[in-house]
Amino acid sequence: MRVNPLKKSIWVFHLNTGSCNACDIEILDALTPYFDVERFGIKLVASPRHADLVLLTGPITRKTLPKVINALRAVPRPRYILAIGACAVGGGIWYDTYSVIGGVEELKKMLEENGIEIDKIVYVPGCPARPEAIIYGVAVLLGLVEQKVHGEVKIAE
Amino acid sequence: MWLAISLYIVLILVFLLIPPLYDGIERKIRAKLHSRIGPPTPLQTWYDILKLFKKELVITDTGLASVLLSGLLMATVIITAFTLPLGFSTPITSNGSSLVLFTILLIGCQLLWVSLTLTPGNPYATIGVFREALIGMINEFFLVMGLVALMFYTGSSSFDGIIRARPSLTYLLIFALIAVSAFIGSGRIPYDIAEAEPELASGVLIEFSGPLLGITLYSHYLKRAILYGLLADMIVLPLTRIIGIVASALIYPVVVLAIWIVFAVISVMLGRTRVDIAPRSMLKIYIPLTIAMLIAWLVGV
Repeated sequence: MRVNPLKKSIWVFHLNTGSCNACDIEILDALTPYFDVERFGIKLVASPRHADLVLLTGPITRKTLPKVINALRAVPRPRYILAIGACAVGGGIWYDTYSVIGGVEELKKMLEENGIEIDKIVYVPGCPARPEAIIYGVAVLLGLVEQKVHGEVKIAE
Repeated sequence: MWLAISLYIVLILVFLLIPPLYDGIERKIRAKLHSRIGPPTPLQTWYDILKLFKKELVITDTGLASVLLSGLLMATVIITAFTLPLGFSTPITSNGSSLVLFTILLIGCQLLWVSLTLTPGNPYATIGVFREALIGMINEFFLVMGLVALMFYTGSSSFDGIIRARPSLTYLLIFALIAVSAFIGSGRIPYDIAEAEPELASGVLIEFSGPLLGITLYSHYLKRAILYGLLADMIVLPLTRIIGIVASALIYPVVVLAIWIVFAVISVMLGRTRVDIAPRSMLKIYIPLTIAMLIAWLVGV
């Protein structure tokens, strides 16, 4: 299934995987009446079973990993992840420490091993990511705005 | 006769389609009261439900029971909608005991709702269900009392009795009793305590996903519209003697919307009550209202 059916209605579930809470505060900020994300059909839900998109923060600690996998398994497909903040994107300053798996890329591999498919992941870097960036990330996911960063890497001579 | 049947077919189709639209309008109004823009269109709740029907169904071990009961709930709610006069009397609603049938079906909807939400076996959902059942037991009792009082007042167990009803203080108090029951029965703040704690958020629906959640939400909105439709009938049906069935059929959806908006605005202004206070606060409203209704009836005003 393509992203289109969710273009007018996307329900989000907030999943903290061991973050310092800075990104979580920014998520809460993005959900306040000031930013009014209901304008885009975005709604915060309390159960992963209702969610379309998981707002994932933190570098995914080994302690939270089984719960994270369970929560993502409970999300009905199509399921999307918005990796919010430097830690979720690539582990941040914890990327090679003993107690974390180091960001959503590593998580993706583990999910594949467990037979859990993620339909799309959008990265929102920042430490912490700003509320505007989080909303922009959802807009990129839904195709409301065009993604500016592409896969190819250009190295200056 | 044919005019009534054609009007009924059009109106019942409209009535089955408008509850999510009315919820969308409520969301826009709520956003306005919060100084927000709110959803992009009043059709947002329809978009939400249609999206849910396109999602995967993830169920628990007892999911089959949930699926069967959700279908049964939706069918019962739709049948209940058919037994409601939509601003004018129809062959179904002019039946001698149509109000009794409507009352039984309405209670059946509430029982099915409680049964459905018990099926996932999730402890948080179960706590929510017990709270909902607690509220429901008190509320349904007074709702039935209001409907029985209406039958005695109009001297008929049919909806047609309401057409002959004369405006009086007793009728107004019966309306008030049913209005309070409809407000509480439609799961509005301050009586949506099934979702009162952060861990109970989404309360009884916590394990439902995809089409199952879509069916359950649609049934919830339709049941809400039926409760408000009953109130609208108590206003519009006596007017049919004056304005005729076409005009009453046309103003009926508008009256339902007006009641929906008034209840939405009331619930926005109130805070959620506590589980231990809720039954007491309900009785504080219901008992004086019932006594006043009985006195007015005995006095004959």
